[in-house]
Amino acid sequence: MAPLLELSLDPAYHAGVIANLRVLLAHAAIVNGFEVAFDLAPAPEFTP
Amino acid sequence: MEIAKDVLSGARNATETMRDTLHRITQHDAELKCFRDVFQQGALDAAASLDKRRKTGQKLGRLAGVPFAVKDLYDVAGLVTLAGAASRRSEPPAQVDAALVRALKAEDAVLVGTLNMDEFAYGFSTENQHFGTTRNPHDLARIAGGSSGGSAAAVAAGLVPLALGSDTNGSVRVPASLCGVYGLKPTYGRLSLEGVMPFVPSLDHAGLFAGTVEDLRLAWDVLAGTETDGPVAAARLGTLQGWFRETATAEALAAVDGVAEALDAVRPALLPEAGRARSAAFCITAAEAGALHLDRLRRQASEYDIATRDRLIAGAMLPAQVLVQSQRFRRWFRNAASILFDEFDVLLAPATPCTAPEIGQNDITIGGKSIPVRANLGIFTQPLSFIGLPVITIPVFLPGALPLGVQLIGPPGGEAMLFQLAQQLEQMGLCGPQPIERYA
Repeated sequence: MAPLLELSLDPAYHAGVIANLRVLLAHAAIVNGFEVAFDLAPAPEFTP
Repeated sequence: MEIAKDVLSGARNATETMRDTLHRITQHDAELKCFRDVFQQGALDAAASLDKRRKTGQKLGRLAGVPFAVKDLYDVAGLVTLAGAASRRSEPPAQVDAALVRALKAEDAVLVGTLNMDEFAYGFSTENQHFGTTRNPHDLARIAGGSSGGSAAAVAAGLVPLALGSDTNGSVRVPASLCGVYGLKPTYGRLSLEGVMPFVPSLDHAGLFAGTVEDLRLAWDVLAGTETDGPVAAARLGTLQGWFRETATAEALAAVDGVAEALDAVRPALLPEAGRARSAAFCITAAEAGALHLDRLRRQASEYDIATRDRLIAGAMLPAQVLVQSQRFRRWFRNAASILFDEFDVLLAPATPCTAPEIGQNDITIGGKSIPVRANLGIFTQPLSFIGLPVITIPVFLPGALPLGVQLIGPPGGEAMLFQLAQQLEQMGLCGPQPIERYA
């Protein structure tokens, strides 16, 4: 993944990045576990 | 503000007030590490100019002579905006002050310095590898919270009566809670972010700290161009259940329940899927911040704090599908909150799950379960900033304990109601900072 992003990762970073990615993907699984209506638009520019 | 009243009436001299402020900063900041820069001469010159204008009969602004400081991500003309990052030292200095700095100066408040923060605002502890750890004025062995830790600690120690911060996931409310001061995170988009270094553009809010509700309100009125003095009904009050109680210590629950019990007609309220909202905020934060920093990470990864760097790189790798799903869920959650505000005017919740952890403490035990402390300090703030709701954090002191914040949460645009309720609670003696003997 890192080469696709043109990131040259020092091997010393790997463990930390992987640990953070694991946490992120755990949160992503929680978000993905919720079914929102197909036509519900994302809110990238959020207006409360 | 007392200082402004005194300067405007001539009871106090702005220059003397500023000398006192600068002396206090010099005396205490070596141990607290709130400040990145202190503008000794600039602040004295500005104060002297105010005294001169008053003597010649010129009208002074509403914040005449009030010393204030800003989190190190607000542009200050002539200064490099570091945002807590040593890697930004080679950037050019800001050409003009940030819009909110200009607004405060236009009312004759005096900028005295910039304040420490987590690197690029990505953290809840203000343990900054480059500029040091801001210490909690109530207990120097403990963190001040973050990412606006310098701002909260400076107000708590009485170094300045007013400070600006920013809040993306809780960065005003968490340090306000741990340091025992008032903090306002207004409705998303309500205060200008012009001249403020972005972190997560779709979640970033400007925010502020003060020692009293009156000071917070006056600064808000100046910054937002409003007048919130009139009576506003906040009769239907609710205490958030579920997520907002499940991972809270007994102290955090006692702080909220004490406030709720003192008010009449507080009913239980449920904001569904708040835990999922926290996860979605977590994903949006990582993805947007990772994207924002990707180019710098390609060139200067080794110059970041290790923890910040690893989080940002992971965020840059998050699939776009997750970001889109998080933003779609965000709209659903906003709708759910909107339905809840048909029933309630103001909701109550703890600001943090616990009091200030010790510096270097990694875990905290809540309900018999050990959880990582830094990542979880924002569990009660993230679902609310996720949908841009206005929140005032009020400082509550339980007997013999460190401070804890209670969030007063309103519907979008509901700041006036929050101020009224905070004022009421302060007058009832239920909240308000406690003087710290060391800094008295």
